[in-house]
Amino acid sequence: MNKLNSIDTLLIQQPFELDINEKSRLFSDAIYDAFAHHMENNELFNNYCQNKGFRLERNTVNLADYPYLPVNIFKNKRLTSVPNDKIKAILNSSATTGIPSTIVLDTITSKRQTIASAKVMADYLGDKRRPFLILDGDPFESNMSEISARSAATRGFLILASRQEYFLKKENQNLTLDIKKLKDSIKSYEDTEQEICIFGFTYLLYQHVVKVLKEGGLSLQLPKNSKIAHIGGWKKLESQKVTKEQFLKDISDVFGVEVSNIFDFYGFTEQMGLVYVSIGDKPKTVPVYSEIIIRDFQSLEPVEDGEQGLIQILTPLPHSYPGISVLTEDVGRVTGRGKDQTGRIGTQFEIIGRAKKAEARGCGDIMSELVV
Amino acid sequence: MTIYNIPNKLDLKDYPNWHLDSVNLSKFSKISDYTTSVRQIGEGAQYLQNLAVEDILNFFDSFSAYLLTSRSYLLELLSNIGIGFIINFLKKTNLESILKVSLNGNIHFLDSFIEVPGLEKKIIAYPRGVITHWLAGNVPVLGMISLIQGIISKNANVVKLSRENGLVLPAISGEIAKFKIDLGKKTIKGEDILNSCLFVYCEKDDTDAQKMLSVNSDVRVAWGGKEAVENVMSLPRKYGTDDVVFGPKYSFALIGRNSYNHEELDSLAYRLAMDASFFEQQGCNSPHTVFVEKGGAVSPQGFAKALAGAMDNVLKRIPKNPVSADEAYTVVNIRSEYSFMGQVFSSKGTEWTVIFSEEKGLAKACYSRTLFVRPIEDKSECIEYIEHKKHQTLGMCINESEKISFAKEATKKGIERVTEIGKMSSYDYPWDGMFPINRFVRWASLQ
Repeated sequence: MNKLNSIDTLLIQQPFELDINEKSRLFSDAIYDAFAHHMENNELFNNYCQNKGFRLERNTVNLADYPYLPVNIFKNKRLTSVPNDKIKAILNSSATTGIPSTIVLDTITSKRQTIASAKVMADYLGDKRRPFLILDGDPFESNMSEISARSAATRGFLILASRQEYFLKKENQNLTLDIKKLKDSIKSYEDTEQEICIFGFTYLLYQHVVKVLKEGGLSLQLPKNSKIAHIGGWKKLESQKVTKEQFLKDISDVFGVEVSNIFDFYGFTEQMGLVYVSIGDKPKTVPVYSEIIIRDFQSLEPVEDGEQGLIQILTPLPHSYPGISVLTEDVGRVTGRGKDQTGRIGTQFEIIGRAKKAEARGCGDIMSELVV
Repeated sequence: MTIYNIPNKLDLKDYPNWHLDSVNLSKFSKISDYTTSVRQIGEGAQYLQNLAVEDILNFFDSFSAYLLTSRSYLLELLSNIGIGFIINFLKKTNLESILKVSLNGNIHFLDSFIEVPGLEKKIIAYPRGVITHWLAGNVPVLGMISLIQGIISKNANVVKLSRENGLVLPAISGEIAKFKIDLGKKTIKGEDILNSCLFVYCEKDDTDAQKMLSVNSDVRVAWGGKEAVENVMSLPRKYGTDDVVFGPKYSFALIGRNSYNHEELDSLAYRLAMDASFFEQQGCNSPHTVFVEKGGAVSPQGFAKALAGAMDNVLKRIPKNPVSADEAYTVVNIRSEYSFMGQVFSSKGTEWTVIFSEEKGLAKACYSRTLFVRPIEDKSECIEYIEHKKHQTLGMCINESEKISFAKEATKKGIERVTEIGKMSSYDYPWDGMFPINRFVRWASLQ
């Protein structure tokens, strides 16, 4: 039990209040204990660390020296650090294409995830529960696999919802906005001055709602202090040449909200429970429960702040699987450290894009037909 | 429909990168009347047809020597993408031999009727007309090799450049345009030769533009991945147009048990490492899997270790080109995957990786100088993995007495080239199972 104390100590902290030195001290202890737990209880992970030449030594390990697993490993391997009878749930990533990651959850991990995500979300959206207007298909009424996959990712956010409603409907395999339902719903909250939260995947929110309302010359007025929260990344919008500035302006115009009430959430299944939020066009700030390292494409060493590279995130939260140090497929850069523009303390970063998956790159790609 | 005219005399120093991205493309004009442009290069090709083939070869031979001695900015700039390869390719000894083997043993068939003993007639080889080369971006120098073969067979050439590294060929042409040789009675100018060449770019989904290129071709040469070459082949063409396809291929190496002395291990590993480091393993001829027969003095694992040392040594000779985020992630991912199930030797960064595992079969190509070493009980195992039209080069180190019979088995199954280790990465004849220049000419006879 002692080994978990440092992690619990970290978890009782507010997400963005510890000064850098104090966070560094608590985080170093917690990540050390997390590595000790997984190396002791997960033979595969222990071998992996040893193959990487890693030796766990308290107080001598720099964060950047901890080995990392690429997130894709969880697509190919089921890595478990607890006995099978402790596993309470198996989580599949929300991948709408390709192979989903498989993550095993025990009670300890679930509890830590819930605490961390609730604290971070409350810090941004407020701890008062409010109606969530979800801009997606209703998972209970649809058998579309994409909706089911997205619904799994949405579930974590509903902790702050007093009730939930869905506003996209399926028509001929396409999702369309039920404009009347949305207008009526917003009107009903406006009448009672009830703050609400509009929630959706970034692409759906823009493509199926904002664009539709904008092209129809419609604008809605959300009740005061209402929020817009979106997740899922920019890749699809980038391919349509929609800039972040345009995105924020259009949402602000269509829903009558300040840009400071538009929140972009970033997170991934392999470290479920950790969310990184940007307000408007500001960078995201890392809470005390995790730390970010940007690694150079060539040397794989940490880069200087401001330079771009692959994003590695360390967190001591996962107990049942060794997702404590993962290299994501995302490219980003650190934009600042210490207090951010909103007064929160933590490393600030922005996501530049995704390490594009290779299509056919060279002649040897013929093999993908044979091997995959 | 938009077809960009990319000048065949440009200087890479004037551009922020070598790719045909929107910034660079905005500097180039669009072709308003493509058929007229094609007609003009057809007229330009008359210049080639009026030259003796020997003179054309002399021109490129001198140009090759000039590139080496001129200290051209291209030498340094393009050293990592194989400009040295081009220099060797352009030498007269090389061009003459590939012409000779393609033209029934006599390059002068390209100049006039020549009596052929046994046939009792004279024959002559004419250029087919307009060759359109659809290039791939993975190995830009191969585009030059394609073009030069079109030129020495006296054809007019349209080069549809790839987006990736699309400015490399026009830059090399820029050097050709500046070059001339004095042959006493006449001077051959590079810029006159280039009047027979048109460099173009259009988007791959611009179907009208692609069709326009296709229907104005007498030979369609397609380089690239499966989708790319199939797209070209699906375009309409005029009657009689011939197709030369250099599609995707995979290559691998075989090290037989006791096929070398222990003291040759490092040298053998070094040569294999060179094969895997040229063009960052993007070529069809680059090895990805290395089968090592068990039971020899050096174990498969020992060979993998030696190969790792060699990869590091070769890195000093051929510095690694910068990798993209995608490539970096792919390398990290494959290393991690095999850290659980095999043995991974690698540089600290993303430069090179050697993976030893007991798996069977050919590994999926990872590129970025990644080699998969796999033990086999007997070399006959790797014959089972060969598939016709999918596998190109087998780099082989086996006992001399077994070479011919094994090579016969491998080539019968579909391998197109069997080479020594260290020679996999060269471009030679036949290529992809054919003599390309033979496809670039039409034969006529006089009895």
